[in-house]
Amino acid sequence: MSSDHQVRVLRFEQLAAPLEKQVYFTCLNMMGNHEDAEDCAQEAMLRAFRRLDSFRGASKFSTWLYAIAVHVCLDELRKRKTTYSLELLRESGWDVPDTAPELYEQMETKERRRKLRDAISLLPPEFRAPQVLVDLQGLSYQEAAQALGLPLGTVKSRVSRARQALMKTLLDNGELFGHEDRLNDERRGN
Amino acid sequence: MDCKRFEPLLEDCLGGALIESTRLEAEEHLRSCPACRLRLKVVEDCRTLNEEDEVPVSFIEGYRERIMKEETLPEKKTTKLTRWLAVAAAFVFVAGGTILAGRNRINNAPDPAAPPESGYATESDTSMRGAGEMYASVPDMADAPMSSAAGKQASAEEQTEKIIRTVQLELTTRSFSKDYDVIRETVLASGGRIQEANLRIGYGDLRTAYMTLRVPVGKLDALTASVKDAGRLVSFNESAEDVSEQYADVTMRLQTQKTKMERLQALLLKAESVEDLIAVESGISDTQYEIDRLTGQLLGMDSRVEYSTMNLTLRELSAAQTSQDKEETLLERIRNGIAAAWKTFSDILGDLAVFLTVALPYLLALAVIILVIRTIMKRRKK
Repeated sequence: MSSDHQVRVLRFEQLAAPLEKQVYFTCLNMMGNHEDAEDCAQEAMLRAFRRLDSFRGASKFSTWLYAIAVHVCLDELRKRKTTYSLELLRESGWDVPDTAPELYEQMETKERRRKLRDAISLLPPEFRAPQVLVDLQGLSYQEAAQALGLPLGTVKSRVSRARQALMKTLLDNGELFGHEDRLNDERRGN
Repeated sequence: MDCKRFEPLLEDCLGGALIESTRLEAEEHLRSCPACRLRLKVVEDCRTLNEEDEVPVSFIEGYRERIMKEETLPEKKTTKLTRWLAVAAAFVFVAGGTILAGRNRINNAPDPAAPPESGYATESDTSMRGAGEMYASVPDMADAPMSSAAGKQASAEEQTEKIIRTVQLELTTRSFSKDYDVIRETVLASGGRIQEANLRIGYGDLRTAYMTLRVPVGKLDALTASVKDAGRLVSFNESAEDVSEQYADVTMRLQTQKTKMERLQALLLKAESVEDLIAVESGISDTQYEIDRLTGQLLGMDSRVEYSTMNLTLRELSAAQTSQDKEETLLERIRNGIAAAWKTFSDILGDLAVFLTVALPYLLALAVIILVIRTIMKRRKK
């Protein structure tokens, strides 16, 4: 290995190692399963290493790295050509019952997370990407817009729609009302 | 506060960054709006969604290993270098092919001046011995304008003076084929003949013709003058060999032999014994042989005297050497230069078209192979 290459590797590791966990989770939330997440995260890290020279510091390194990860995932998802229902993204015609938030809260944390993951995986990738960056990785709207190369307004509206869609999935799939027995058992247990 | 106002405050609400009055308003809205309560809880859960997840070791080891192996230059630079190399290789390929196609064109083209045998060789040496093998009747000597002293001598004292004239000429030309034809026509029209003609194609496909011409002595000067006009004269050399003495000597010896023959024939009639007869016959045979030999010598000399030899070299010039061709004005030189450049350009275009047409099936096959390799490589990468 040449000394130049060693220097590059060291520099990259210094910058990227603290973020490797977050890169992996970004890919996990985008892809919905560990196997695809690992492939995409590896590809993202390799791509970032190859393009290290093109990072000019215009954004935070983390934003730049997440952007690469999200784009690797989007490329992969596009190749699969899965069709997503846009019905979820319709704003009108749905209502949240008064008890819903409390019922949701009463579910086991593990279960809630599983349901949420499933719900996220149903979002169309164009909505999933900003939602993952903002709600899961904690990026500001501005950073997410920069990472995705989209206008700020677009990112805001997509995140909002994505959140609505997540709630709708939880309600529509009967996650909060379809398992009364189980929920009652849990309540009794508590 | 309504849902629309609440939603942008959601992040701050989670982080506890709201000012007191807004916080109170928000809390009031949350109490009355189950949708916003659920939304808040969902986003809160999203923030901690991966809290308990572990990052697989295989990912961390895997990407580090791949980076270590990435010994090559950064992707962008490699791509650039590869692109330039590909462009250079393509250029060399096309240019080489065009030149090869051009070479074939030159070699295959029937040269108007060259004999058909010279077709495929870059360097040919073909003899045209015997071309125009027709001895025209000796023309009227009085018609020919005589310029040199030797010529005048030959004309005035033709019966006694025996002069062999030889002319050596070297010409350069740009319009080789045309000038070659002009010389050939002029020689044949004046009753001469081409004894030998060799064509040689040298560097840069420039041709040189070496010709040995036999010209009636009376037409030599006129012919020399007109041939000189065909191209640009580089060198000229004329010689006249006086063979009168030698001719007279041979004539005398022939006469002696003829007289001897007459005497021997008279002796043959008088011979009485067989021995005498044999001796006389032998003498006659020897004498006849001598008479034939001397007569042949005289005829040879006559031929060389009546038909002068012209050794002519016609050299073709390249487009870049146009200024050496004749005396040209600047305008003519420019015009000729442009014409030469245009010819070269159109030749190259033609060659390129020929090469691309010929190479098309191979290029298509190559493209298919490259596509297949790239697809395989991409799949492996994944």
